[in-house]
Amino acid sequence: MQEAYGLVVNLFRINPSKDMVRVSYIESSDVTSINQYVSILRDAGCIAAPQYGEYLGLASGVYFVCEDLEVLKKLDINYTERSIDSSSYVMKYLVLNALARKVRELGDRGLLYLHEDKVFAYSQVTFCDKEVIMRSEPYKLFELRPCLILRVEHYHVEGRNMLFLLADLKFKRINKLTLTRLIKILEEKGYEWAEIRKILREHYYTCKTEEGRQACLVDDIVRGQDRIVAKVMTREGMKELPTDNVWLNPHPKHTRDFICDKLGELLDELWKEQRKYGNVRPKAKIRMIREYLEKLLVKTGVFPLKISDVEYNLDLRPQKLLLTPGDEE
Amino acid sequence: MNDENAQYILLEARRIRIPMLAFRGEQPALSVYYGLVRFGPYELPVSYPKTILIVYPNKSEFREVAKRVKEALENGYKGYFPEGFASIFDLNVEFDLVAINPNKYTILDPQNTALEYYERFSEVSKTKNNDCFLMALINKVPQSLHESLYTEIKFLSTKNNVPSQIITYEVFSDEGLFKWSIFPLALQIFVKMGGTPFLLYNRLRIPEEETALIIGIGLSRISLGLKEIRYVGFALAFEPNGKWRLIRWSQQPYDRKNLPYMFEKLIRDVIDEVLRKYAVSTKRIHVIIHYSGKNISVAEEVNIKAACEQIKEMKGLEVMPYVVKINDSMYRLYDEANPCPDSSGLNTFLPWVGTTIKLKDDLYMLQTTGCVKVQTSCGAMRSRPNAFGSPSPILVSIKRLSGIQYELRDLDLVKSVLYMCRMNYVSVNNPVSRLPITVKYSRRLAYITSKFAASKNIDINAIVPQKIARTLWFV
Repeated sequence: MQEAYGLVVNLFRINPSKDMVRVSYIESSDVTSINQYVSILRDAGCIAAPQYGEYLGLASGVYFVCEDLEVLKKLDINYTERSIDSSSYVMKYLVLNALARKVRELGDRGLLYLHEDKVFAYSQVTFCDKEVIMRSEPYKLFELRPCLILRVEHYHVEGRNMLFLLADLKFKRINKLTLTRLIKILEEKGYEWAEIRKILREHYYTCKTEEGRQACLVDDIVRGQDRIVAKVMTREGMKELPTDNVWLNPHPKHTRDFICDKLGELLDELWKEQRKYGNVRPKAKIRMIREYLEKLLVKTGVFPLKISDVEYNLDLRPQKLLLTPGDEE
Repeated sequence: MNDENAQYILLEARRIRIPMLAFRGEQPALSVYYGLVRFGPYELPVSYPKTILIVYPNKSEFREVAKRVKEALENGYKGYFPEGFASIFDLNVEFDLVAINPNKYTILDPQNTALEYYERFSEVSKTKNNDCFLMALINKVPQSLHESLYTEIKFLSTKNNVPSQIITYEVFSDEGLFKWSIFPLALQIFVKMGGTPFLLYNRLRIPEEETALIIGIGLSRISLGLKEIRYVGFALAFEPNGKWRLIRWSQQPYDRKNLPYMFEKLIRDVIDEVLRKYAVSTKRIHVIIHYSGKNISVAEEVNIKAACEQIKEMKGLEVMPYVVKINDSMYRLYDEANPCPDSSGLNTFLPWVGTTIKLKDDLYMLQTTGCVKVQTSCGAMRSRPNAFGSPSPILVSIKRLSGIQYELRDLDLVKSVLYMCRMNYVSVNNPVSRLPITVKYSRRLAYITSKFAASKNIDINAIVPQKIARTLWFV
């Protein structure tokens, strides 16, 4: 046997002010009904979480908290009140729901930067600092922002339920170079329309369609009476999109050279800065995560989070996984 | 940050040792570079193309790169690829350059550009007295681009029974990237010619007189233009020593109800075909399913078991299915006790590759990136990081189906994932790939599969010619 050792990890303890929390509960073990209830309750402005099977003593069904009880009367749902462990498995979803809601509120007030309105997806909450680290010059076509990606994790260790915030930090390069801006800059630089049409076909793009964002190609641009429309080749075939919904993909080297040489935008410093942050080793990275958690979640008032009669506080000390290793396999 | 500030959670952990690889004559080595240079490949292809045609757009910058690649493959490139392809892989091949009309090279029309590549290749290969291998030099394309020159060339060549390798101008025109990419390029060509560069020297612990099959399953939702959406699943089968056996597809109309049946058919067909083709004789076979995607539902579980029951009835042998789900994670960890300095001497404190932490009863964190032991070009051992920045471990969840008496431990199943991460046929410097070969190519295969699915033949399995199907044509 080797000696126990520890690994420091980007997990931060979420401490409830009370051991038990009051929640509303709908009994069900049918997956479809559970999902329907969760969706209805969330649409009505409540925070709601599914529990598909019995787990650690908690029955299957829907657990939820609605601030506005009038909503529930209107929905005409049969539910009961329950007191459950404030760190139980299902609470990880309710805490994450409450976190997403508060982040969105702060985003709407301009205190956080919400990129593409994808704040809450795939059990993750993503948002960025309102302050930009760096912008490319002179057109400010790209900007670098620190962004937090958060999940809530539940651990059951030695008979105890615990909740943690799993936090990651990415330095995102936000692309502001839409086809609209690109055409405008090329026109300002004196390029003829025919020449612009030809140039645009030589690059790759990102298109925003009903199916979400995807890589695409520009087949042509057509000048209408009041706006320009892009004909783009997408996964679903040829489409017409407003030029505001098409972004130049700066990844290929020839496109980056084009942005620098033809548009005159200086990208090197921003790319270098992003690479510098991408190369940060975990010890420094976890320190940075902690700093941004403090800045974006604690100082802005996201934490403590209030759910029902319980306050959830964030402990900014990263966890250490103390490992009890067996023999090497 | 002071460590004393940290709080503790007590968890179980194991460190899985990185398995050695086997090269010619079953000679073991830790590193691919050392093993291939010192011992040679594990197994040569039975028959292989004797000429590699490097096809490029006829512009000076492309021509220069094509010439440089040809020269390096023929004669080697410094210590990065000593002595060249024929010497390392023991195959007698010649290299030739073929130019295409640069006016027919356009990113906007990948189909016709790919056709131009293929037609020029075909013209020249007719003048040769043997089969040829297509190496296409193109510009880098975004990986997420659904219809790209990469996918089109791959589709066209595969359909026509021609092994192919695509290389990009962006990588091979950059000296810093060129030197590290030339040996891996040769390795991929060898694999696509049907050779086996190495296998696992250390094997999974399987009870005596029993055998195991590791199946990687991928699932895609494919849009066929605006007309139709289908589910297409594919399964890759590997032996426990890493030897690749085959790929099978199955497709169904887009309806979740069809998924369980698709799983059943894929698993049954793959096991049946492996048993038939490779005359596996055993009383019990452990089928470890590696899967990266949505959760396996109860209905799919039932069908996986049904597939195993059918094999039992057909072949009279017991099939034990294990479902192993593999996912990315957001965790970042460091180990203060493990300095693991990088090439500039700076401590990284990365955890050891192979570190396995039990998070829950059926959920494990597996470090496939981090600090790893490597073998230098002269055979000495040292440890170094195998990733930049702060790499994340993967999550491995074990799904045990009800009503089955299992024999393999969770740790054996986690080990199957790490072992398959060693089967890295695209790098000679990184000893462990972040994802196992069983699920690594899901996205790439999905794109190529969508081309296959769009063609008239409803059975995708019949589209890939037998000769190509015997090689790992998609790596």
